[in-house]
Amino acid sequence: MKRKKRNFCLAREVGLVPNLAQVVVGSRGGDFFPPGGGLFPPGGLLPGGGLGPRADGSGLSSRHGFGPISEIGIGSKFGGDVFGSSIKGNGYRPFGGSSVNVPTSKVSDLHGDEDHAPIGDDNDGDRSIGEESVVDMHDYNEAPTADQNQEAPPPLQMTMKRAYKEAPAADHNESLVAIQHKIETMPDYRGLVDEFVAKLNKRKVEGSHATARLTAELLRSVVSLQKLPCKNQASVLMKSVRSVGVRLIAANPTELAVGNIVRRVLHIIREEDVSILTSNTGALNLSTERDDEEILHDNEAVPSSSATAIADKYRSSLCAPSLHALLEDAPSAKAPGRIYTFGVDSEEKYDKYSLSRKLKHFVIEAIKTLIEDIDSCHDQIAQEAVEHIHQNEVILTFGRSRTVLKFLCAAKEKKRSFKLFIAEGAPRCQGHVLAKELAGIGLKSTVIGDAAVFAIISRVNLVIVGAHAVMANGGVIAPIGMNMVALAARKHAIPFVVVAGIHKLCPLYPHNQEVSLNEMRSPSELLEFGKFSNCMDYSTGVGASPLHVANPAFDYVPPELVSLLITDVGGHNPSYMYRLIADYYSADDYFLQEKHDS
Amino acid sequence: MPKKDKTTKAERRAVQEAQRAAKAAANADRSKKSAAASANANTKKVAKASTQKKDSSSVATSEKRGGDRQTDKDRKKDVPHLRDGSKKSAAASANANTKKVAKASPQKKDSSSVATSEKRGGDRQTDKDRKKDVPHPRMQFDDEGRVEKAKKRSMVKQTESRNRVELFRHLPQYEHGTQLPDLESKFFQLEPVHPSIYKVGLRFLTGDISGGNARCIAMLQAFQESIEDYSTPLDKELTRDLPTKINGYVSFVIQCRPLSISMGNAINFLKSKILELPSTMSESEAKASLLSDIDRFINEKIILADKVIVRHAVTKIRDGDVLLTYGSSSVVEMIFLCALELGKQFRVVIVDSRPKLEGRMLLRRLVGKGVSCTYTHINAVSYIMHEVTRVFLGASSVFSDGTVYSRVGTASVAMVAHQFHVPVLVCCEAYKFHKRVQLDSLCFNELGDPDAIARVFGKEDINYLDDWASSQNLQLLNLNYDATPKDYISMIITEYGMIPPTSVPVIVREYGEHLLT
Repeated sequence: MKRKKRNFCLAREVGLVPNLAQVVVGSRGGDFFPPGGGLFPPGGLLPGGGLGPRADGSGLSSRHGFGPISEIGIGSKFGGDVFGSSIKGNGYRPFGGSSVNVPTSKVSDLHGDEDHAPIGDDNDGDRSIGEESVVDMHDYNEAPTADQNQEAPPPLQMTMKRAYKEAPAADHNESLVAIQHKIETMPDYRGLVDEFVAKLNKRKVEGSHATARLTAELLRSVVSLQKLPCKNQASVLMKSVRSVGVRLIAANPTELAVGNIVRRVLHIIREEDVSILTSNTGALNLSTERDDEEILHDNEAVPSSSATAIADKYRSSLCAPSLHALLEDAPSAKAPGRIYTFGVDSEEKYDKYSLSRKLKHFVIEAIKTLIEDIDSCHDQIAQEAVEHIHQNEVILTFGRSRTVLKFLCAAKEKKRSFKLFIAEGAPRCQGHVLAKELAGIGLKSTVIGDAAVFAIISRVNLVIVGAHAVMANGGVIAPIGMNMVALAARKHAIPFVVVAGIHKLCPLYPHNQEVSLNEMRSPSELLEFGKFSNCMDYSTGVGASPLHVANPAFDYVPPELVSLLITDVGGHNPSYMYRLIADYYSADDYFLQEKHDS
Repeated sequence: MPKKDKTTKAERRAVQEAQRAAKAAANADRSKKSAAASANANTKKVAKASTQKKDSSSVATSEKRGGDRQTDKDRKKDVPHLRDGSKKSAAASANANTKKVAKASPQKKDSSSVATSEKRGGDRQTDKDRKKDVPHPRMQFDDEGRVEKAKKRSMVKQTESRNRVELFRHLPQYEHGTQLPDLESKFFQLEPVHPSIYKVGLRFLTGDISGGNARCIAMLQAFQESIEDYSTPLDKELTRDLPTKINGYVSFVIQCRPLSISMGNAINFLKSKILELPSTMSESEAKASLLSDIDRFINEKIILADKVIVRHAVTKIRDGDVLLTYGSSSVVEMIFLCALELGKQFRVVIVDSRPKLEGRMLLRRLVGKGVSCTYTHINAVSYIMHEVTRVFLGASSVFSDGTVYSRVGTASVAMVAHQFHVPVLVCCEAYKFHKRVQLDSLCFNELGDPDAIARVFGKEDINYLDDWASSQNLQLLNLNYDATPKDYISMIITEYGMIPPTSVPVIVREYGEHLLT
């Protein structure tokens, strides 16, 4: 029954796309095409916006479809005034081709509003338009998973709304013509990506949890908006995800959660591809086939959990090859990545059409589960709390981490009573917030200065801290000052426990982490500029400024200093991280940039 | 008498050291040298004199108080010292005298004993009965009865701070700044306190004067002024009456802000000087002698000592060094400036911490002098430590187990430096050394104003803790000091030379007595 429904949805999606393409083609058919169209390689302008069978490798390949467009996106080619240009662009651009779904009346509404509203202002009119159009978007975007439409929308809606708000800045320097082109040629998700990249660049997104979530949502829209050719679907999908990922990572290289999520999505695509391949082509190898058959049966019953189920199966098969498989001497313990390469090369042995639908759908489902996982990671970790906190314990924590907050709250809810020391975590002093929150739920908390950590730690039983990222060697990238705390804990032989969601697990090894994985924040957090300007005057004659202010954001805690890492899949030694990474990422994705270039 | 030999050898060494230092300083002014030399000569003479008259004086004291139970005890305990015949007994008897005087002044008893024991730390009190008699070295604020008594006596009205930290009940936790209005209103009634002492106390209270040396010098100078204005009452002796006065002053200063160990040592020195005054001396002579003694202490133990330390420490700075310092230490600043004058090429990293942010002032001064500086906060110390080649730290005190007691955060900096194999050099004058041993930073410490933690300087948007006192579960702890274990310290630079932390007890033992002469 469910299966049927899904098919229906898929059909709807498929039905929509050609429509859209027609509209796009129609609108392009006019004289909007600029003479300077040489910017675009011909492949990118194929009729059908890269939908047809010929589109693969050209219209959608990142090299053709992406490069030139990004030049336009910068706006340098079109220069011009920033504010006094086509408002129409606002309506169209963020959604790319899909904006055609917006009824014309609405578009005109939009024009009216935009005329009155200051650009980028967050007024009501703006918002309402955003929402209306978003609904339309959903019909299109979420079509394949229409049965879950009711629960899914909010995050996407948010993203889209932001797209609206941010769009003007990027847009106004482009002529209407160029916009028209973009609609036709660029992949639809570009506006979203641009907007998120801008936010990452400006460090508007705070915290790895929020970043991970937004990244996953963005990639979900990327996947759903990506038009797929008939063959090599997975590779096309992966290519686009990867190119988006590379851009996102470049926007904020220190936010490792972005890269983690991109890699996980890639891994999901690989897994889904393999599972579809195996189910379609039959005997690839013994164990995977068996797994997939089981999963297919599962799918009939619970379609929404298919991707996770498959992933789990793979994980389990990866962890421990069954005795049966060993006896059969089958290459069952192959990493999915390997199998995948096989899958890419095998062509057209299967029904492309159904495969297309399946792959995309399954991937979207899997990403959805990923987002759910990210959302629920705090609670998962918090479940471990009572295992690690005993009565009358004295716990030290540092700065503020939502994971730690949830963890401690969970222990408190289980009627544990314990005391807390909270180091404030200068210069941002987020520890104050945490202290207030914890005192609010009735935990005895004492705020101390960061300098007093060493003095106090001799009276502490346990150090629980959050992290920014967990590296493959078990080392932890954490808010600045953590290394000092970890060293002090080691000196007094006090367990140093790091709680972190699995989305913070990064498959990279830290090298020269003080520089490469760090971020220098504004000196004004430490010194007021005005206060020292008189000192600086002295120096102007001398030449080089004699005053430097170092305000790094992150610290690296080597694995030797970490006693325990608690993730949403349980507590582990730092030395075990490499194994968890093998579960969640495929080795081919570790270096996104390299792959992209080659 | 081998013991005597030893002490004189030590004495000689000290004199030599001081003379060398004086020579070094003589470039600037010749007069200082002669002053120091003559001071040293004085030292010797006085020391000898005291050895000779110690028996009589101590016996005399005990006789005077004859019939008193207390005196009996003192006499008992004095006996072994007398038999000993060593110089120690002189000091011990002096100590005993101080104690007795303290007892004699009923109002000030508690606080004065706190003051005395602060420096003495019960070091020479080998006799058990004596220990019993003397109140606990430090006021323990978790002892409610004693706190109540002290409160009645205290002339500074303090409000207990709200939400006291359980772990630190034994330390005074008062509302910061609440004493001021009360003290102001009492200005004309503060009969026992000399105005100069009052002034210094208030400046301590407001944090106007901070830093071990500055506080110590300010206090000593205030004592000088008060001694100048002192006149012995008709029916009293100077050597009896003046110490009680001083005790009153000290207890006032303590109420304003707990004494540092160095100040304790200085007060000890002054008291021993008073007790050593020959009874034949006229009042004006005695006062002049005391004033010059105090001057000598300031010059010799602090100013000259600093110069010698700077000379030692500068040899440890090479071209191209990156020197890290934490907080603001006057000696360390002098070292940097001296190295700059010598034309050495180096860079300074100043690590600072909330809430005091003392490093800013140091930064301002150094940048003004043209030293190339990097400023950062204590959390970033592991980030910056990669490029550092030397760590120079100041100290509030050095204990005889090698523990360095200093501004909170010093331990963390030293720990990280140790982790990165960067040598840690602690610069500390020998008058700050103390016989006490301490394992952690909790048993003995000073608590600052908790509100300072809640306020984030220069950022009004961080005000989450504005109403912290209203929440029963929320406490703020502002520790002022911490104890750095000796493992993290490569070297302690004193005016007696550069020593490993394990040699601190040697300094305390060999030179400790000279602090009192």
